[in-house]
Amino acid sequence: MIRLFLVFLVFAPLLACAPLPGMGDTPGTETVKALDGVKLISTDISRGDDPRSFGQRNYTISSSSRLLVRYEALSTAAPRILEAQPMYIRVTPASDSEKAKALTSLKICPVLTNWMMAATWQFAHPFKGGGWHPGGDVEFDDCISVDTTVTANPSLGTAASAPLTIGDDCKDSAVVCFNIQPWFKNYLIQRGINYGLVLVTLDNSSISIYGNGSGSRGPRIHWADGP
Amino acid sequence: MKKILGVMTIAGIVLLMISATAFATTTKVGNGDDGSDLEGAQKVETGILAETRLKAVEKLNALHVQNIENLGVLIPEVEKSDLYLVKGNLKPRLKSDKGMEGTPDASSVYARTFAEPHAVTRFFPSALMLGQEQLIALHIHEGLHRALPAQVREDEEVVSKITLAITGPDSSYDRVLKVVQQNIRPPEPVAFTPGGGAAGANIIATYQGPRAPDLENPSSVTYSYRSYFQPKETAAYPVLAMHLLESQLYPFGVGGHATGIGIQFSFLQLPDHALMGPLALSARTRLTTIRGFDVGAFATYAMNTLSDDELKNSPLGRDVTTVGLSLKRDGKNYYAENLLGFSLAGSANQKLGGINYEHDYGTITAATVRAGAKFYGFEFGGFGEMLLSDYYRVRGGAFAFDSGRYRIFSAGPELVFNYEALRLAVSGRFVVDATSGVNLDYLGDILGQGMGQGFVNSSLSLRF
Repeated sequence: MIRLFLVFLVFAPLLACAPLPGMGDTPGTETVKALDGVKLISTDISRGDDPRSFGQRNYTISSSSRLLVRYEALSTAAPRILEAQPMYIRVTPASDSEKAKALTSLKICPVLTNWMMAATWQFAHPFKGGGWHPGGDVEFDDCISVDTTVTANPSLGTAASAPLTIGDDCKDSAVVCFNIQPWFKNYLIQRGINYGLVLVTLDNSSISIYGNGSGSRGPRIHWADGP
Repeated sequence: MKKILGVMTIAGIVLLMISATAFATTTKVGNGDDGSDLEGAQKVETGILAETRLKAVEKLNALHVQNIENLGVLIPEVEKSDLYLVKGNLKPRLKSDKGMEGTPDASSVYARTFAEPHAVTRFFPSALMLGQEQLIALHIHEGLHRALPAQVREDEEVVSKITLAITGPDSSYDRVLKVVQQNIRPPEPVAFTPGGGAAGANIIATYQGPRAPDLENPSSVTYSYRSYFQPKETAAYPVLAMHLLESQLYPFGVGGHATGIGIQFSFLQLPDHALMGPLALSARTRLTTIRGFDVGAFATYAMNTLSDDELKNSPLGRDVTTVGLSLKRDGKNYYAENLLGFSLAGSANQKLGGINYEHDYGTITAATVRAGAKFYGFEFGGFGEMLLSDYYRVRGGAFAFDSGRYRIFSAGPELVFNYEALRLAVSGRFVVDATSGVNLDYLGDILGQGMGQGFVNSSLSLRF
């Protein structure tokens, strides 16, 4: 018994230094996934199965068209995710000029109603209770701007300055990243809903980005998995 | 069904009581035959009379007369009737004695029976002078007196015509059927009195049902055009119209029974293009006629597996199996029909932008009432239908929808014009009431119940 106690005394300081999952500074393992739920809603598209609204190489986001985005299996992955770590959605504008506009005008906002890939500007889905506000039920108060601490801004000649633990891809000069960690914590973890987010412009600008029809430049999500 | 069985049981008991009362007396009802010649008669179980009876039964079986309406009990009447040989000949004194049952010189009678089911057959010694074929005809003739409906079984002319049709050298099923149909008119239905009484019992005992008009020309080829009303909310799969080509052929069944196989091809008109819709196979049969009601059964199998790829990859891309029962009364100036249908649960898979959605449809119970009036070649009517389904569920990715149990009540008018073999029909189906937010899309049965808020249908049929 005394020997067992001595062994405990020797190893106790080491155990105290080990971080618990989801806490502490250890970044864990980065996971990057292509967003599978990518759906354009526009005032020009009335049919939910209109092929222009999904699987496209490029999408234009404006005051009359928005892009719904969601990683459909995020709820399943959530128990492994380190919620204290940032979570990024990475989007690639179609050009440098488009990126310049994205840095100031592009926002990503929580969606408040569950939707499916048949969503339109007027309806989240074609079933009972599927109607929503034109353009989607969006929580504009919780909109997230481009995270300029991780996103390089070529027009200012600056590079990403933050020491990234995950999302090194955000240093790429062609992309913009949104840190959606507040959304993950407030909506998915605390409320248990994964209604996704929507890319919007809150002014009259029109921004072209690559869609999930593009091989490597489609929207991605980054998170840190615990050990 | 329990109620019908109950009523039939009561009527049967009443019928038995009436029959028992009749047999208990010595005075015979019906054709005036008092049966006094039975005194001293000898029961026949062998010999030429028994042998020719067997041959008569063989002949009736060969002609399949049991499948001819009004002749359903002829074979058992011939086969099971007790035969008696009376000691002496009898002078003809009844009207029937001057027909096939009497000698040509009207000096004696060959045979007699009571004109009611299960009565005995009495042969007189003069019958033993007849040839084999004549005795066969005599057995059948006497059997017809017992087997035909009450209103004609004592009509010697009708009985003789049918006997000749059966025993003549050119006898065939079709010839017998034709003669029976020509000579036995369906009686006007009489209101049944629940609780028994002679009238009620008589209906059940003798009523063989009307000769259903649709048995004369049951087969048809039909072209239909349906224009759909879109749902108030957005449509999951907007179909504007459907062209439908249907062939329903009835090669099977005889007499009062007809069984047909049908094929339906459909072509769907979408907002910007047309495509192949479901292919449906169906079987319909008229099972029987009970108290003037044609009882039929049907089954349909709509196969989306053979439709266009785009439709297969849609909420409507499910196979639908439906079975049902119909009760129809087709009068001279009216028609009325109750239909009860049951569709099995099913599912369809839809892939939208990389996400697979599974649409699960619950079982559907459909209760339909159709009724209308006939005026010359026109039929004016309508229908009401209540649809109940367990659920409609959609799952895919992070999305899930469950309607729970829901109802849809739809109704619509029907207008039909018949001209010889042509039938022109216009009808409509409108959702009158439904669980909030529910429309016909939830059923996923485009060929059956339709889509959206209903449709207007026009069709042209050629019947033969």
